[in-house]
Amino acid sequence: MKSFLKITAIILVLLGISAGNRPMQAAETVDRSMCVFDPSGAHGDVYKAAQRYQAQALSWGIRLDLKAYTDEVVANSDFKAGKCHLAFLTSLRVRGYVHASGSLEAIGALPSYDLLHKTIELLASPQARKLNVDGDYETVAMFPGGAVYLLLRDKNLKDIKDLAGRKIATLTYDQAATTMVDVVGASMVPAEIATFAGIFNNGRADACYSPAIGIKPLELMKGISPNGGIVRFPIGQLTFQIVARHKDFADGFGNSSRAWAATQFDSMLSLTKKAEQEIPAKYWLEVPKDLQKNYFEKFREVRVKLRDKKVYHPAILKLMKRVRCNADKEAAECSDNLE
Amino acid sequence: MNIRILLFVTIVTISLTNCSVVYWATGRTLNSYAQDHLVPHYLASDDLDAICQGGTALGPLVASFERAGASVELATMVAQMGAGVCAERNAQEAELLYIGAVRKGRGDEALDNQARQIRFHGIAAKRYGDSYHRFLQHFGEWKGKCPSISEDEELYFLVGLSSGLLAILHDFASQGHAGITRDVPSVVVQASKCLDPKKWWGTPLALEAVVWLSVPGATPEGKDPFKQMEEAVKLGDQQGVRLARAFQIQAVAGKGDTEKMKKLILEHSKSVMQHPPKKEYLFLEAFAENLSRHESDKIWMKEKGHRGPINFSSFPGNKKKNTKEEDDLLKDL
Repeated sequence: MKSFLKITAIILVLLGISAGNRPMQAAETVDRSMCVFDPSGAHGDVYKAAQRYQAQALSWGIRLDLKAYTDEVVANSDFKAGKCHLAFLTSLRVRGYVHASGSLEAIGALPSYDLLHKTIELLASPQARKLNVDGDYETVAMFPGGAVYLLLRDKNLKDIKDLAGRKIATLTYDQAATTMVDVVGASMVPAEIATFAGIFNNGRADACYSPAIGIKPLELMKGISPNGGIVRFPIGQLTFQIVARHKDFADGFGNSSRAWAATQFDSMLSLTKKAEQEIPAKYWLEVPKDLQKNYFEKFREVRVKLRDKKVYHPAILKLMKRVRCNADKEAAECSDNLE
Repeated sequence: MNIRILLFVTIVTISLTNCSVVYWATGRTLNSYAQDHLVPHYLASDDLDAICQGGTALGPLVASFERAGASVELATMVAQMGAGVCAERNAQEAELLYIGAVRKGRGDEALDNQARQIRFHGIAAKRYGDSYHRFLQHFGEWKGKCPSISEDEELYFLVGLSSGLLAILHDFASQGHAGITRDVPSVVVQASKCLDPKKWWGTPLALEAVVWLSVPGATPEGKDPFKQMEEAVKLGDQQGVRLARAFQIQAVAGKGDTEKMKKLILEHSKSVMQHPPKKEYLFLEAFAENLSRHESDKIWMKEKGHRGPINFSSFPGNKKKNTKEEDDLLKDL
């Protein structure tokens, strides 16, 4: 999953933060910096979006200096070392600072963009502040980065049960994906971001996973054609988040910032949705309701395992379950307490 | 000597006659080329600037072939509509600067931009008006009955009516500077019935409704312009050609109901995400989107001093208050 966060970063658009409850006058403008991860550096879409954020921040009394990083590991370590006040990273990295908000991408927890939107809106509410604060750190913005889908070389494998014994190109450091492979009884073909597309396209793996936005650039259609497809059931929702050291900002900054970021949901998602629309209809594999249940159950098993291993934060899993049950009160999971 | 003069006169006469024939033939070729290729190419492009500048630059050239005896009405009609879009965009820019200046309390700047806005509306009205004039030249003055329209010409009929409506709306905005004849709305209402609303993405219904909404007392008894507009918009959304939305926005913009505008603009933004546009008519899509974006920018400029998001998907200060449902969802976490 981690790798796909990186892949999606190529197209993701990012907006940012606003500054505190108390609008500052020009004389009170403060200087702050943000480490921005964009695989294309200062020429990338993410960085450009960060520049729009920079302009926005000015009107809130924050003069922001942006630093572009093409390597998320370096961006992350610079933020950790205090070289910038804010960092714009994938949620997977943010999880290292704020456990709860960083668990938003939990596998299969939010099968639609509407559910993701609702969850981000809830997390932007002032009552949810404690879920966004962890020690010295605070998540001050959450943006959608696109859903991750399962890609198959053979469309007959579209029930998750059929994946047992099959080979899946998996990023070895992606804990959620490796657990998933284990739970479905598949075998892992170890891959890196740079290699998984080739492994899938050359037939060394039966399946791989990617957000829609990565499908064209990585030519994954080659692996899908002529007998495969893309399972229309999101494995996870990628998100980009902005994390801050809260002592560096005014009280209430986080609340205002999250509320503003939540209003940017649709515009942030437009590139992803375009990429999804561009995929020819014949490649999408619609999953019948009964098979969806199988997916959902397996995903839930993985989420619970990862929660018990302290990878996912229990409160956020509970919140996402409530969001799901709020949308579909009849769902079987709503009568148990697993999450 | 006399023979030489005679020879000279003969040569000049023959050359001029030939030129006229060549010009006439070129005009005819140009007209049919425009109909067969240029207009479809224009319509499939979402580059409003290129089309409007193309229309401004080429319109006079195309129209000049009329002097050579060629009939170039349809090509000129489309070129002038494109040219009208340029002036309309300039008027929009001036309007945004005007709103920004008012916000900053800069009186001179505000008045200057307002004056520019009115002038550009006048230019737009003249260009759209010329486009409408070419429409009448081609299809004949409206005499209360639908003219015979071939299937290939239906689109031009729609474009002509749309130009007429835009001409009158911009003329209102320019304080009547362009002097567009005031019978346009009634012609548009009647002639729009000559086209099948389902085939043309609800636009004929929208044309009718926008007149009802713009001209006091024009709504016939038992008709609800808002309802009809909704119906038109639905047809346009389904087919991925949202020209009806453009007219809906035009009509409601004049009513001063900001909340209603916000709702319509957000709906438009959502619709664009949900229903991909029809590739053959991207120009109409871009035109419609430009209108919604402009109305969104006006609201942003007034409230925040800058333009809004490019896909007009949000407005300032529309943070939701927490509902009981949200409180329940967040309880004890």
